[in-house]
Amino acid sequence: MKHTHILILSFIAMALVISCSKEVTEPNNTNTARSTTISNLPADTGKTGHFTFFRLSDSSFVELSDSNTAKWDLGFASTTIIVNSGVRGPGQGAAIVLRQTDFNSVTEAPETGWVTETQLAPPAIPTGSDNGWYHYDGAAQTITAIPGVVLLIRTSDGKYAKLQVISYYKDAPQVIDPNDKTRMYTFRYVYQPDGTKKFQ
Amino acid sequence: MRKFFLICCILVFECVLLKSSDKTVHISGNVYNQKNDDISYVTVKISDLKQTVATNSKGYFSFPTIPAGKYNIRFSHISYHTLDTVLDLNNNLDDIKIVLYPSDKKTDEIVVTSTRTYKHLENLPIPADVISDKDIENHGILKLDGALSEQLGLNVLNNHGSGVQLQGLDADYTLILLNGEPVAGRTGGILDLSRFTLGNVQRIEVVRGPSSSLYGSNALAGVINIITEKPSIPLGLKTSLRYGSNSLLDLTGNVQYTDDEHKLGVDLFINRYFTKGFNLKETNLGQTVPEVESYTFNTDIFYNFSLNTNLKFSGRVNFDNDKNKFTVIASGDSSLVNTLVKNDETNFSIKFNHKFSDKIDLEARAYTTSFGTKTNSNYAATGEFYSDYSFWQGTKKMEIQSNLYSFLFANIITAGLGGEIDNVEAGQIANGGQSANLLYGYFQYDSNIDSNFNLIASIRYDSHSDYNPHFSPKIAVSYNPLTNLTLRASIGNGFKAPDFEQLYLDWTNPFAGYSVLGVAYVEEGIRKMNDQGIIDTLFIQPKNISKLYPESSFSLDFGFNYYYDKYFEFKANAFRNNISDMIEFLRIGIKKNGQNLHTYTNLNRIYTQGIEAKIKSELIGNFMIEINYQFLQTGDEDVLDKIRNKKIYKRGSTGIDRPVQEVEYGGLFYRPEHSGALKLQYNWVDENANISIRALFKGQYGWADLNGNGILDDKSEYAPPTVIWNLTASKELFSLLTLQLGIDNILGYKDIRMLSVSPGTTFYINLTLNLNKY
Repeated sequence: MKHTHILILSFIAMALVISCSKEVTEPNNTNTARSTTISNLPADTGKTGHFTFFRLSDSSFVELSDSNTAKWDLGFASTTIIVNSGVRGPGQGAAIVLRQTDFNSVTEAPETGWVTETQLAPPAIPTGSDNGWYHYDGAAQTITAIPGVVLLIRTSDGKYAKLQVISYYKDAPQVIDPNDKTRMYTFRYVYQPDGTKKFQ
Repeated sequence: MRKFFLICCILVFECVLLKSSDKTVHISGNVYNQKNDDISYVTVKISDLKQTVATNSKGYFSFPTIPAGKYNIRFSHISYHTLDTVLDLNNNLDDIKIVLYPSDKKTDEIVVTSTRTYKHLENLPIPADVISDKDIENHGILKLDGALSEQLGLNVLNNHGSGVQLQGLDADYTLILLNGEPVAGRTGGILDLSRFTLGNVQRIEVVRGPSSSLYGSNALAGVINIITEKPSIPLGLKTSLRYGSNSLLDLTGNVQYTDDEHKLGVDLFINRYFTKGFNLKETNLGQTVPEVESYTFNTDIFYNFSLNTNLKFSGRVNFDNDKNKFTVIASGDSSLVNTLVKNDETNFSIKFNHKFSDKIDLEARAYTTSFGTKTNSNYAATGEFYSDYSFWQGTKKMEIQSNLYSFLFANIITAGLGGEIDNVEAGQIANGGQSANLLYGYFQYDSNIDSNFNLIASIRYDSHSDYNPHFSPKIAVSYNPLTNLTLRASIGNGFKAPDFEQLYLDWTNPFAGYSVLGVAYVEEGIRKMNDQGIIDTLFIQPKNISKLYPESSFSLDFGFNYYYDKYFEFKANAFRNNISDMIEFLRIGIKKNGQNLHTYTNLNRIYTQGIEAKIKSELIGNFMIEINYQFLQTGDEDVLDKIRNKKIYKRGSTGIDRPVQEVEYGGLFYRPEHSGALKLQYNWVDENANISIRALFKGQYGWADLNGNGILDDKSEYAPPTVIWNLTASKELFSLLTLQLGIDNILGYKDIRMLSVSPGTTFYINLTLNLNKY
């Protein structure tokens, strides 16, 4: 009698918490446009406060002395990424932060929503955790690219590109150690040289 | 049937009489318990002869003349198992030794925390546990965090000090009491449990489930009450010394005095603790755990004016210095900075109790507590100032409580009324300091509807100067279908008031540059920031930011206690807590430096649910085994909503960003799904020695977000399961001195990343001199 009571109670309790688990389904990898991957782009590793300038059309670095020209499309300094327009440069640069999407499924850039560098801060691509491209985790003390975020870039000369940050750490480690060398961007992008907004 | 039985008995009785009518013998002996103490007032009955005697104060009994023969003899006592034995008495039998074993626990554990009145633990409708001074001693535990980490369903975490997670809820949802009064001084919501030395602690009561209906704010997951020793012996002196790894040196001294009439009692306690700390990472200049030197003074005094009127005073002062160092890198140069943290804490309470009659008593309580912390950092090379920080908080409280007995069908009706004033002073608090006040009342109805059914209903109302008022009701019932089985269920509400930071913070992170404003200060703060021209965009106008509500819970709990005498104990408990109005950061704007501007709002809803179970057994002689286990599931309802609406993404194994699926969500961080402990102890009663080994198991738990989406959804985000084994061996020498050797974390488990506060294996030796017996 005593034992039946306990048994019944145990079973009720167990039934309450047992939940059925389901399988995780991954979408198929639909490879579209070939992208260019840049590894270990240094973004002010010496903490001098200067940007590293980069041109998308030929994947090349631009000298710091050319910062006031339209030769560059993107500037990197720690977690900040700028485009070439307004207070930053003479170009036509602009950006859009797309969320909850996948790099491959972005096939066309929108007509509207382009943000230029009208002021020093906040820049066109917002800074601060979860505002732009990165998330800062207090427990792990790491900076990680937010999944589902794709940056649409209008270059200095009015062409379009889509870009995805992969890592902020040297050699893009799978598991980040907070002591890993930071300010070393790995990203991939697709550049459309014909001036249209299509990435197919 | 009964008649037939009676006839049989008479027949047997007559046979016995006939058989042994000529010769008489005498029989005598002593009755002891397991520990060889004499037991007085044991009823010794030879039912065949209808003769009964009782043992005297030495446990001695005798039957001087009885007819020779074979008899059934029964030894019975209210606190012990009845013993029946058959003796064939043809000759005199003297000096027989009878050992009785204590009966079920009904006479043992009385708890006070669950209801603010004295109740028996085992048939209480509210799940509770007691950690005794014996357990603390046998397990070689110095500090409160150590004692709690071995308990059912308590998960001690280290972040801003050692805090305890109860029923899957964070440390700030558990109220910590010292002799029934709340302790101040939480940093980041966590009250550092390692501040409490246990040398003078008589017992620790742990109550699970919401208790806000009696205690108000923070008693949401439960209440932990530290009860210090009350003077009880004419004169006693106890002192102990411990030396261990990392230059641990702990010294305690305790003096007790009570006068002959038991009118006045005084207990004085002093403790000094020192550890050099340790460093797990060779490359770090600073230490993982700092050097700590701390002192605790405690006194408990009672004075009984009469049997019905008494006064109690309790005071505690604790202060400590923590030394550490770290490196700062400025314009490429790194320099060493020394930092000194000074904490001080005080608690003083006076309780005046008067019993007007058997029907009514009254207690008036006054309590004051404070906590202060100061950090000073200076460059090691030059001694120049680097930074400082200070925080001080104090509470003054008055309360009266009255108990009415046997009134309106109730056992006890309890009513209380109180008020408190809270003060805080800190650089990051608006205007350097703030003050707030609270008024409250509570009522409890405790009734035994019949002898097997107990109902306790309670409610409390809190009215605070800076947040919305709150009602907290609770109903708990218990039912005993069998003497040893208690079924219980409760439903209740708990709450956590917004803390000082959530109300009055005015702080900008000096490194990252983002700012946080408390809700009661946000209008003024934004006006000042606008005047300075440092705000870029505001998403919400400050006048539209609403006053905070306390975080509030709805909790269900049911379970049972089962005792098989003293040898076996089985307790289990299923719970569900829904917390709503969780206070979270609310981003209200962007500053000109590109960083965020935050305040707080009532936002999230979380749940925790699970099962706690404990089996304790002393089935085999002096061997004790305890197993406890907790199954836990948690989640954030708002995150679940976002996942269902495909708002949260992750990079899948095929490299494609896709919405997180519900099955991938692992709930809240730092919650192991499975956790538990195995405790084994063996006592050599004759040798006054024991050995105890404990394995503390923690299953894998979410450690941090590593894939950028802010939630726990990936295998890499879990910390691995751990088992930590602790061992202690104690032996009493010359009956005054106890020697104890201990090894903590025998297998030397350490994890720099996730378990930074375990230095690996540590050893200690402890000597206790106890003159309390003389």
